[in-house]
Parts: sequence; C-alpha cells; structure tokens
Amino acid sequence: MKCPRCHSQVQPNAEHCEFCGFNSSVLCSKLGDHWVRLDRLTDPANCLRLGERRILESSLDEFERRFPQVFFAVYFGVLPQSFSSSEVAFWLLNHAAFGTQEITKRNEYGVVLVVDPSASTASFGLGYAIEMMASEIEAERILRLMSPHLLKGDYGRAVQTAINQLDKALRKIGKSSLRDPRVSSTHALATDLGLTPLRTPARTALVDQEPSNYRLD
Amino acid sequence: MNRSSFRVFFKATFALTFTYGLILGSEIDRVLPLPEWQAPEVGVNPISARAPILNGTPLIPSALLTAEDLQDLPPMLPAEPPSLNAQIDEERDFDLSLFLPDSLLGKPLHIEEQVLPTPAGEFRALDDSFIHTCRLSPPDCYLIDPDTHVSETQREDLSRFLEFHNRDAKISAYVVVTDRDQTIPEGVDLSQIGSGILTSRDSCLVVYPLGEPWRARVFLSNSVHRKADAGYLKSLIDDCATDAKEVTDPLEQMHRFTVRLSIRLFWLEKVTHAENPSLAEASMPTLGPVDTENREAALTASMVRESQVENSNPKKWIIGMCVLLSLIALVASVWAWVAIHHKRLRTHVWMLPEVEAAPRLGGVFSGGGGASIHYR
Ligand SMILES: [Zn+2]
Repeated sequence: MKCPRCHSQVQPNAEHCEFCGFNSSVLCSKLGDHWVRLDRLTDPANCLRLGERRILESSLDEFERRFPQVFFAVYFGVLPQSFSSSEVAFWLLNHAAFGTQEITKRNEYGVVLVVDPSASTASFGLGYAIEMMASEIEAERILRLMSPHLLKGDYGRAVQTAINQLDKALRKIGKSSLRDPRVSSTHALATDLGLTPLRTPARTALVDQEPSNYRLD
Repeated sequence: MNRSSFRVFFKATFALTFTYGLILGSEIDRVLPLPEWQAPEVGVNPISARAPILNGTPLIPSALLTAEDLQDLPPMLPAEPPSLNAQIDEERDFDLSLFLPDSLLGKPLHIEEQVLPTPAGEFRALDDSFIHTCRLSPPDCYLIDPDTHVSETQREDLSRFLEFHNRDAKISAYVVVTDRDQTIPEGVDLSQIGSGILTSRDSCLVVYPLGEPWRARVFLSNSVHRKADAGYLKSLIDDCATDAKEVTDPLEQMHRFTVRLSIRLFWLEKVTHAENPSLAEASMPTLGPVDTENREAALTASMVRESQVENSNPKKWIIGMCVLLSLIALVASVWAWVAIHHKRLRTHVWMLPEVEAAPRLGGVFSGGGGASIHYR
C-alpha cells in the first residue's frame, strides 16, 4: 500500500504514514469531515462533452448491472496545489455518497478515478474490498492504458478504457451467475424502505451494447 | 418415269404439304378466313386431286368430290409403302441424293472409291495466309489445320495422340494438314511454324496432304537430321506412307501415318540421343504390325494413366472442400463464442466475495489503495 500523499509504502493497519504523517484526519481538517453527495460523473473541469457523457453513463449503468456490489465514479477537476489527485480520491471514497444506480452500494466496493487535467495527473482510489481483489498493479496497468487518451485530451475514451479494463479484471475475480432481476435489482427494496435512488439509471432497459463499443457522437 | 410424271409427283408433294398446313391451321381458321374451294377451281388441277401418288389426305375437301372422283382414287392405305425408286427412274435430270439419304434411294451405304493421285499439273501452292496462320499457331498445338480439313472428333483424337507422343518423346511431332492437291511453295521458311517452337527443340514437322499420304513431307531439326542415317529417314517416310495406304479413308490414313511416325520417331530418338549412335543404329528393328499395336497400346495405357491422374483431382477438391468447411466451422465457432460471450455479458452478474479489511490511515471505506500517474 502506498501513502496517497507521498506515495511511500505504508504498513497494513498503519494509522498514519511513517514518512509524511498523512492520515484521514489531516485531510479532513482541510476538506471537512462532512459527507458530500456526488454524481458518478462529476466534471467541474468540463473535460467531457455531452455526447461522451451520455455514452459513459450508459457504460456505467451496464457496469453496475454486471457487478451489483461495485460502482465506478469519476471526478474531473482542477485541484488546489495543496492536494494531489490520489488524496482527493482517498477523501471522496471515505466521505462521498455517489449517485450510483442503486443506493445500497457500499464504498468499500467503490472505484474512484480523479483526473486533474491542469496538473496532468490521474489517480485511482480503491475501496477496501476492491483493493483486496484488484491490486494496485492492476490499477497502474489500467492507468497506463488510459494515459495516451488523457495525453490527447480524449477524456471520454480514457474513462471508457478504464471501465472496460475494470470490467474485465473484476469478471476474472467474480463468480458468474444468471441475472435474477428480483435479487440483483435493489431498486424495489430501496423503494419499499421509502428510499429513492440518488439518480435514475441512464437507461431503463438493457441495451445490447458492449462497453468496448465506445464511440463519440 | 418421264418428265411429265415428275411434274405430277412434285405437284402431289406440294399438295400434301399444303394439306398438312391446313390441318395444323384449323385453330387459326376460326380467326383468319381461308379461301374456300369453288367448283371451277377444282377443275384446274384434276391430277393433283384425283391421283395423289403418295398416300395421304386428299387435298380437296371430300364434300367437293363426286362419287365418280372417289372411284378414281387409290385406296387410302396401300398394302406396301410405295418405293421412291419405283417412281423415279434413272434418267432423272437432277440429283435427288442432294436431298435424300442414299439408303432411301437404294444405294449402298459406303462406296469404295478408287483414289487417284492428283495429276502433276494440278497442284496448288499453299498461300501466304495459310503459312502465316501456321506460324501463329501456339507451341502446344501439335495438329495445325488452318483450313479445318479434319473433323472435330478426329482432330480431338489426333491432338491427344500427338500430345501424348510429345510428352515423353525427345523428338516432338507437329502435323500440318493441307488439302490433297496442295504443295509447299518454293523458298518458304517452315522453321517458324508453331510460334518458333520447332527451332527451340528437336522436332519433326509433317506437312500432310489429306488423302495423299505418299506426298507427305517430313522435316527434321538439323540436330536430328545430322545424326540420323539418310537411309533410315527415307525408310521412315516410306514406312509411314505405306502403312497409311493400307486404308482408303483420308482421316484414317492420317491417323495411321501419325501413329507410325510416332513409333519411328521413338526409334530415331534412340539413335540420335544414344551415346554411341552406330550401335543403336545396328540394333534398329524393322517395324511390323505388332509394333504399331504395342505403341498404340502403350499410348492408350498412358492416356488411361493420365485420365486417372485427372480423376485424382477430385481428391484435391475434397481436401479443398474439407479445408473450406473447417474454415467455415472455425468462423462459425468464433461467431458462436462471441455471441455466447455477449449474451453472458448481458444476462450474467458477477458477485465479488465479501472481504474484511482492517482500516488504514483512518479511512473507513478506503485506506488509500490505488495508483497514480502523471501522464505528461
Ligand atoms: Zn506519506
């Protein structure tokens, strides 16, 4: 494990980084300890075009359907110099409620991609559960595959690559079973509890579109 | 039968044809009114109406015939069919054989004609266009027949024969077919016949006047000519011609000539291509009918072998088909796999195992796991 700030190796169970003293409370003192609500695709830096965004929403819906426990969120933003993208990813996973398709997804199963187009940095933050299955090496590999698109400013394609690669990696780990609509969809359950999803799915019906069929409008 | 009888015969034939037309045209009658026979018109040609030579339907409708007329008519079905010979005498002033087969005219089917050589003064020299066509003939065309004297079937047979000869012979044989009275003009260069193939390998060119095998002229490549004994070459031509003269049919003659030539060239090849020609010459046999049969038998066997080789091509086709089917099967399985994969992606969910992880760096859901890159 690496420290989000200084990228030094961190011992499991370590309460703070031995080299820079980083931990959650240090970050919370600057960013706050409150919970924030965030869309799956948050783009204050305006990196994504509308068409790209629409396609990515569809891909994310499909991704979440295939992996009912997992969500993938993306944040494009120009960050203050005092924060690195990996620090923001760390903070978001611990303090954000993402507008996923199903509200019952837990952040341990979350993957957050933070891209700072100004600093040209990109970071993956992995929840504890995902971290146990998709290693940091895998995360680095996916980032390397994304980097040509990021370099060209083709953010839509970069995110699509990330979704496809993550999909592939998790399929190797997960146990495949036929989708049972009564069990896999927790919409009904959430509605029964009087809860409404933070956001509605981009697609109400399944669309026979492979996530890899990424195209720009 | 005299001339007037002939006129009667022709009129009757015309009438018969016309009647047949009337029967066929009965359907048309309803639409197109045909002229009706009037009593005066009947009298115009009494012979045709009353005395048809050949049995058939009378030309004039029966209603117009009187009882007297009917008495004159011959019975409708005679006991024996009339013979044309009985009605056509030998003094006819035109040649019926142009229209009727010999058998119907009572002639024998085949007449052995006495073949006379073309008189010396009646030879025609081959014209330039003939020679030019011979020169343009492709190297693999062994039977050169610009004026198409040889029928298609015979041509096929001879070409195949020459093809098989040339396949395993060191002296290839080419045959140019001319009309029986044609000769090669003086000073013509024959070496360029067959697109120049004759100069590029040991060859034998025969200019064969169809029907006069004794006038066939045989040309050999210099390399062969030098090595061969003049006496042998003369005996070669004589032998071929003699064998050809055994039969009278011009095409059969040429066939025999060619087969004999093939045998002779085969022996000539042994002389010219042997390391010690004199020894080979000494052992050269005289040819008898048995040799001809052997040679033909050998060539037939060769042709059978060839056809078997050709028949083995289907095996290649089968292999080709198998390869094609395998490819199709491969493409189909890839397609099926992709389809199944897509279906699985649509209809399956992947559940990840539940794991317990000790918190790290104070994070409740994430301990900073992940990766970063600087992409510029
Ligand atoms: Zn550190």
